[in-house]
Amino acid sequence: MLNIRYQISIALFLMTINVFSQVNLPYEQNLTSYKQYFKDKYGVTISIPARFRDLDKYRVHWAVREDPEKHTGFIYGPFFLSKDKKCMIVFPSDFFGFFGSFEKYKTTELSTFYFHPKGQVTAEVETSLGLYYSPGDSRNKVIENVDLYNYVDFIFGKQAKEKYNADSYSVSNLPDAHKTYFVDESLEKLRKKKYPYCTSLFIQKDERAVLDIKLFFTKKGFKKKEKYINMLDKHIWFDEKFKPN
Amino acid sequence: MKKEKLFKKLNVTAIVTAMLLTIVMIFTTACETETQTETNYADAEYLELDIYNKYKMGEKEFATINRAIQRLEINKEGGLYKIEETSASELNISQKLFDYITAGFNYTNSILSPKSSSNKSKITRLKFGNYEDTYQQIDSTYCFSHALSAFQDYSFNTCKTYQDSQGWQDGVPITYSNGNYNVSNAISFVQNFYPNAEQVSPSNIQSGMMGGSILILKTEGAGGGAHAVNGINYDENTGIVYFIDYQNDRWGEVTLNDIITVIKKD
Repeated sequence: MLNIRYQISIALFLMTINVFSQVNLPYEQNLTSYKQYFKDKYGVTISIPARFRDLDKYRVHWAVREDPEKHTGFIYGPFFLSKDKKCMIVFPSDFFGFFGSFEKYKTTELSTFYFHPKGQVTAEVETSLGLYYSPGDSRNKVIENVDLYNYVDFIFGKQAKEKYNADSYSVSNLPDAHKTYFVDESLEKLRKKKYPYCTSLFIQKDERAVLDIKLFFTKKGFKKKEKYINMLDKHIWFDEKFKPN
Repeated sequence: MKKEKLFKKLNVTAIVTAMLLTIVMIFTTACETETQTETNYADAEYLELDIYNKYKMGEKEFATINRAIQRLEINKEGGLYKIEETSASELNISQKLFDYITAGFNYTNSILSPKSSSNKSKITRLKFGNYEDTYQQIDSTYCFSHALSAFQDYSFNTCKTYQDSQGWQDGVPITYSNGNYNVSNAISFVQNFYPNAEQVSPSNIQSGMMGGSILILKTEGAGGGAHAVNGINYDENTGIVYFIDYQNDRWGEVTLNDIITVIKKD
């Protein structure tokens, strides 16, 4: 497996000969196109809080650990930096839910609450703790719920509806957030220097999609993380009447 | 009922029974059919099946299967059947037929001893739980059926039922031998639902969205372990592929080197 440093070298090399060719991508790398795509595809309206500025970064790979054997991560962008520079909010390049409907078979009469990204929330915490590598790896260790709940809040119902017109959301703090990694030189330099804290915000609209947002904080920013998370209230809004094509 | 119709209705159990009967014949009689005592089948007739769907098989196909089985050296260890040959070429039969037969014996072994691990060398099967609460648990070991059902055209149970009917059990229906993976069963599995499905080499995938193509990933490097997920995006600039693991509701990243093969549905 290629290690991360090697991947960077490849990326930098390819940049010199091919300025990130955009093949087969669903939207252009600008905020207008991004917002329109997700509005059309999932009926979610995104607006950026006034106290944040657009860093104009798209499709940046992020990993929970800078370790080629640990595969938890995703691709993110656009990026927004608060004007006080204590918080960087990162939107996902795509939403979970690409294949359509909610997996109803995973709920039963006893389980009407189903949080689709619980697996990913758990994977992030486990990976950050050094317990999880990749699917099927015999070295994986499972964190029990009682321990997981030291890092995560799962919220169903009224608050989710009021904030995002969603059905549920989770807020989780990565235990070793300073060990996360951006496969982008300037962003990684910025993260390493100023943002050692990372909080995940997963928002779920049942039978539609999950939005995976990351918030990176300075030490001072992390102490007031609720303030920054709350700034997103009503800036992410699922249209109740949306009907997919 | 006519004989042909009977064959059409044979299920996996019947096939296994046929195999067991053949084995009994091998061990208990000095049957002179085929070239049973030979160890070199280079001059023997090359054996292959035109169809592998058991519901469409007829007497001719079962006869071919039986002839192929008779070329195998089968021993019994710890109450389980062990095929000594590791490649189809030794027997002058097709790789697909070899895989089909070995899968059948693995299935037989699992019936004889469900907890046995002796058959894991032939069929990759992964068993690791998801992390949902007990009352939310679903069958968490059929990663390939999860990946196939993620296309949303066929339910997980439909895919799982088909997987069971082929004797592939759970996990990824591929074989691993001497450092090589044989993915023909996995491809025919997808083609049963999507006739135009095709295999794509990891080195030939295009940058950008992957439309959920099934990725068969290596697990823990060498050793033949595998896991099936759905590809989201490949970035040719970094070599990173993002995937969704529907079995465990997780997503993550791999490089091309971690991928055994890619199967596009059409």
